[in-house]
Amino acid sequence: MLRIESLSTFYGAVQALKGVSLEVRQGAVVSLLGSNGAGKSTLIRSITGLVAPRAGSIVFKSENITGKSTESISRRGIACVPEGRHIFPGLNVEDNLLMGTVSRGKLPQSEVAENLKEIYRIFPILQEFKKKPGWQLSGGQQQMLAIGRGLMARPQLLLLDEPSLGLAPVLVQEVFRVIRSINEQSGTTILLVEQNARMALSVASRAYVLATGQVVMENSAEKLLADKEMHRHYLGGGKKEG
Amino acid sequence: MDMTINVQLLFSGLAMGSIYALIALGIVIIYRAADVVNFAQGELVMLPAFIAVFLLDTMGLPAVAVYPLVIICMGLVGFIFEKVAYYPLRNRSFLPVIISTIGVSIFLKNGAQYVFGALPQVMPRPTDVEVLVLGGVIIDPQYIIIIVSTSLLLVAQHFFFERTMLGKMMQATAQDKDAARLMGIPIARMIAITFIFSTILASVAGLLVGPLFYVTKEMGGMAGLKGFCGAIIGGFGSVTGAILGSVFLGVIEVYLAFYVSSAYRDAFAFIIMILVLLFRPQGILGERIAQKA
Repeated sequence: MLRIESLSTFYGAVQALKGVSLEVRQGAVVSLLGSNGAGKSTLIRSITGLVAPRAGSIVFKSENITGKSTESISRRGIACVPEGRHIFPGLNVEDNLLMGTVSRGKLPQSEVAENLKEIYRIFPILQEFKKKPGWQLSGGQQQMLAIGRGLMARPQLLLLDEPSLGLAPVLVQEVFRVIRSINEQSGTTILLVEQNARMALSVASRAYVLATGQVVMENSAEKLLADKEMHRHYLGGGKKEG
Repeated sequence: MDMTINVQLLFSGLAMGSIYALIALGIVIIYRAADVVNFAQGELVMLPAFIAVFLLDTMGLPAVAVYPLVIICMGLVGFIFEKVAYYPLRNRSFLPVIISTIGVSIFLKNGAQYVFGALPQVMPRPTDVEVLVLGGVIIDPQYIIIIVSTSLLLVAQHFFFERTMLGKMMQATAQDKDAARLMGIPIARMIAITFIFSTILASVAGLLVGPLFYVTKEMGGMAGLKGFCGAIIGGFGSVTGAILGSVFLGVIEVYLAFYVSSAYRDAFAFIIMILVLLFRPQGILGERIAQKA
């Protein structure tokens, strides 16, 4: 569904991605792991067109979308839950969710209402706070709102950039439970960027590990969970975390 | 007697405050959407007044046709303004854009003089009623027209931004551009619409204030500054603040001019602004920090 080949992205003179290649199959949950500054978010920003890659290609459903505008990429069915949530602080919860539907063009009221109901079923707290402005929500609620907003786009590919960042452990569990159910129930393909490797590997079928802008490991989630190297660098030795 | 004068002053203050509010809103809405301060906002008040005088007097068209026509023309001006003065510089820092809006301001002033002449002109009033007498209080009917039209426009604007999809998309663009783009919101189009909307607010101010004073190429300069003052007093960046600050400014200015000195009328506005900047720089309704994050 998504195939990235030898992608290189620069910020000024700094090369953030050095020939990254990866593939996400239809219906899969693929995880992108790596420490801070490894280039994970840059990869997401390149896919969504917020930064223009200098070399390489991004192909979505056999169409080359490299260098296309962010707006047009989102209209092709790629939704993004950005790092840091980026909800609209001055809009209330329901209006934030409505913004998620913009990429689908004009929709009948009934369909929008149906979609909202669906999101409120997944995140009941959002229904309770639907008239609250975004900035009044807690971090966890904002994260749920950001995911809900992404789902309102009914995407074929959902990009989740560090959805567990800054959340309390119990909320992290909740967020991953939702990610799994999104994939299982609607068959949405998911590319999940995470620092919490153990959690990410528990929902993903396949994962890529990024370090200093390059893919240093790629394998099925099971194999990576058993990998010695992986344990030393990303899974915190033998100890449990998250 | 004293009471009558105070009520008369209040109406005059509310009317001027309404004009400032329309100008301030235009400045604030552009600032929020595009992160630039438009220094040509005052000239967008002057230009429609000239066009209206031309259509009413020279062409002899009726007011009911002239007002909508001027607003449509000005919407077009707002569109061209955005494409010429903002769009090519949108990825630069705010300074080049500010300089370019100052350039537009100079161009519009001199353009108006070239086209319409250097002499002050009189804009015909929309009503033949000379004065309104309400329980002994004498009021210029134009004040009532200004206050009522502005209030209606503000209600319509509130409805537009809070209830329509387009209004919400414009708010989203102003609040977080990257997130808006990720949603598929065409932010370039949203910003263009913001400029058009803001220009229309200014032109309504021009049409309303035109009959009160002479229409000259300089009329926008002071009006623009007062609107800017109103926005700062209310809390720069806040829509409600811009309205409150401007109305407050208009009313207090009229009272100070009457009771203290009318010669210093304009100075009072700036003294108040400086005091606000010194003692409450965030304005009456300081923008909520969380809203900027």
